[in-house]
Amino acid sequence: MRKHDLISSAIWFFVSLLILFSAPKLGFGSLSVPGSGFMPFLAGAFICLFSIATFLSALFTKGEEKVVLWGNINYFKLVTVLVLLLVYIFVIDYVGFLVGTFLLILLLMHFLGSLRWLPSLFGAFATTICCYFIFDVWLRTNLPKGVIMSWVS
Amino acid sequence: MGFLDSFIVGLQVAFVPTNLFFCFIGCLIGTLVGVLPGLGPTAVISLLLPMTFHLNPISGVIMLAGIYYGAMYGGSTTSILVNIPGEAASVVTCLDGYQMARQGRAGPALGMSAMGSFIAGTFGVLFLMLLSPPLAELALKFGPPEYFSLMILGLTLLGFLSSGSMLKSMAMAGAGLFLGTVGLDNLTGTPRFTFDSPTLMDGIDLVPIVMGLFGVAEVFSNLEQNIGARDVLKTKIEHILPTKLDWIRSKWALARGTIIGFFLGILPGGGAIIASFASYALEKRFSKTPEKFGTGMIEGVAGPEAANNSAASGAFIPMLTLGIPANAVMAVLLGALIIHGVQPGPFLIKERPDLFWGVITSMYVGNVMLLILNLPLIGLWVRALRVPYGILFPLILLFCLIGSYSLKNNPWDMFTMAMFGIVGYFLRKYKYDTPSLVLAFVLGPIMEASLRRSLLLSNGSPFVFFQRPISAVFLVAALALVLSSVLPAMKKKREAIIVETED
Repeated sequence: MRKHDLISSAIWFFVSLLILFSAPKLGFGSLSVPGSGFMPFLAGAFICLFSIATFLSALFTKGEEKVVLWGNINYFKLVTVLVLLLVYIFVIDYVGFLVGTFLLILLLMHFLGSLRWLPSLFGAFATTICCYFIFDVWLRTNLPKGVIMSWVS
Repeated sequence: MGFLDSFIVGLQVAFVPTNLFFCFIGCLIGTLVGVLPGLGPTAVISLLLPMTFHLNPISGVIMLAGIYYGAMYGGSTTSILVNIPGEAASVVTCLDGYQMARQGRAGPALGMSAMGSFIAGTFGVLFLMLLSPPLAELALKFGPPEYFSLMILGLTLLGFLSSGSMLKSMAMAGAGLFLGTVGLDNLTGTPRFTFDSPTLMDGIDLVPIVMGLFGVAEVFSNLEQNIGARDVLKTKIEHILPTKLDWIRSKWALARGTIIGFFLGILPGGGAIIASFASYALEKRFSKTPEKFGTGMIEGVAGPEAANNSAASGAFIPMLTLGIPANAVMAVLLGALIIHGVQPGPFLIKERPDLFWGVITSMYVGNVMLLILNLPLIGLWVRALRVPYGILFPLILLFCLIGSYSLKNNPWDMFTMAMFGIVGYFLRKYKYDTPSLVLAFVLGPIMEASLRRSLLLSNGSPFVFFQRPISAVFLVAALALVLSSVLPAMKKKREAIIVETED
């Protein structure tokens, strides 16, 4: 874990520097009238202090067993889920909840959940309809209609 | 209003058919959430939060609270039968619960965990009823400096009690504090870190953060490991009611678990997870045969299960009486109350006795419902456990998406959720504590307001926090915690507890 702690604390240290340099621009104020940048500065200082402490603690740790963080990982699954999620988020307003959700669940179940086409189709259809009735009709969540449904209505 | 009058008001509210219905729904969803690994109560409460907007606040909060303590009941089923904790507070139940199941004693393990949860849950609610009014009276003496110092103590405690590195946990608290400042400054109206985006002007919402860090990140973590069908222990579940010998062996574990759990639940930064770990460590220490822990000791199931349920009740105290959430779940519940126009704090008992006593009394009712749901219907939950992850994870992702979207009908919130999902995945990988981030994110704005008001009132004197006795006590306690974690003897003791419970 030592090497990983050194890397992650260094990243947090740089994040804290960004905050520490940007916060005073918002107006630090004075102790009697603290400005808008006061709290972000304190938060940045907090991250900075503890990231340095984590770094030093990792630096002086000796004789620790090696931890493999990035071995034996199914990157294909991770990247596919992420891409599908992002595509769904960006197109949902155009294609609408019904079409978008049906396709998302179908693809997730078939390609990542290793279900065959027929159960995936059935699962996607049932999930979409159930969610639509529970969230949109019953709980009035107002899910995105999409261009097609807007034309129809 | 006396204790009995308050209790009667509570009963009248809790037994309204609508409230009974939502209490049942909460307990049902809670048990399911507890049983199914991969979706914790924090994420589910966030998901259902926007749906309670159409309910009256009492029914809404009764349901959300039911999910929380219901999850504590359900979590043990998965721990005992699959050796995977259904939710984080049931991690230690795996140690002895699964061993009991392997020895053909799944029934007594499940039974003791449900009975222990029921007993502790009921006593927890009783303590909650007795302790809340005097604490609310005390809280009336709190000014901005006391609030600020209490929150400092809470964050320090969270770091101290976190199962991993205290330093990393504190860094996460800093990140949460920073995220809480994004948006318009409440006092001056200055936009902070908004990058001219109108969406960021309102700040970042809690729901997408929680959904991302707890829901999406968990899915990512599970997917990277090619999880197949879960290996549910094929054992006949019989003799669910524990025997006389089981009761004799477990009675002190139950009592100690209930008490330690309740007080760890009250402390900001404490909570059910810490409570169950602490109870296990305590039982091991009290036991005449500590070496047998991990081989199927019923005390190792009874103590932690009692502790996590009683902690779930205790956690309501600071939220309802001070308006300060003790953990991430309470933070979401606090958000729910505020959205409903209810301001939790010392005045809540007087201003909304119906809500205060109604919610607490519904927890008694909920405990009875949970006992019925968990003992005779155990077979149903075991069947739910066999649902393959390939079906489960698309549903979890979809619920997270809908939960984030329905908050403001804004796709941007789904994007925020996805981003926090990625961040949460990396934080988990590098062993950073995400609950610290969430709690600090919620406490941040309250802390900032208290800090700035305190400094304004004292003309900029930082000594104001030490001049007021209650505030000074909180700060000294926080300082003692920090020092004790640095002192080698205490550091060893803290690490020993963590190692002991992780073994």
